[in-house]
Amino acid sequence: MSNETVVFNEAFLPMTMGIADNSVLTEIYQEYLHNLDSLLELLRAAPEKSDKLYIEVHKLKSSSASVGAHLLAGMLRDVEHNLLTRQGDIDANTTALLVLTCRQTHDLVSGLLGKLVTKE
Amino acid sequence: MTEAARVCIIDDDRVFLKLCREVLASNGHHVETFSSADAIDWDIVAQCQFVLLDLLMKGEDGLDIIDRLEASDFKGAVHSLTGLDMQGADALIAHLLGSKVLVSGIIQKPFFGDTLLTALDDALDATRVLPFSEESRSLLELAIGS
Repeated sequence: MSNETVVFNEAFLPMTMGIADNSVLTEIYQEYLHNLDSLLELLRAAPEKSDKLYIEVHKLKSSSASVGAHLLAGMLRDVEHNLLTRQGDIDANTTALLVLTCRQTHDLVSGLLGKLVTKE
Repeated sequence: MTEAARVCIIDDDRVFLKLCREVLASNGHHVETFSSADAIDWDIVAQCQFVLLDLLMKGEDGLDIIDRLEASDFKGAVHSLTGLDMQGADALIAHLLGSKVLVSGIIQKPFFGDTLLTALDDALDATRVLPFSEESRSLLELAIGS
């Protein structure tokens, strides 16, 4: 487990990318939520092919780190490493924790989206 | 910033397509985006000065796309975009170094917007100065710290 404990830092993306336009930020966060939903869907469906899970985990790890979802990014980094080294699916406890963190992140990003849309 | 450049971004993650498009377009560059190899308009890519290319994608990946660019009239620079840990990725780096296309470097996700703009400026300078393989090697070696 990584030391990154901030679930979602909403100042991170505007600061690192220099994006101040709320409509652009809204589009990016919406795409991010789409990525989150894709992984949650895959985890719910109990994937038979770990390579598909690996691709989704890899993708969400990078986008999480970029939008400021640091806790999830750290967790996905560990899961990605385990998928690569063990060549298998993730265990039930890890899946449960991952789903919980995805949902927590989803709620926080959705909350920010609501504020951004109101400001537009 | 140098002059406005024609840029293509190829990434199956729409978060990065939108992020990179915003950073580059807001700095005056002309940007086209493609979310997979199947979606690519090769005529547009061939006219680009700078291609920002994700390495790990569903279907055809970034290395396949570099191979296709190698067989085309593309004269610009390719900059790799990846969430992969490049330490120990010897086969991947060897593939990039062995390409006849100018691979001007690697950006690891996540990154700062300024990093992307600097990479573009450096790549445009490189395409003006030297032909491909030696310049690719020196830029890539610098990027991976070898």
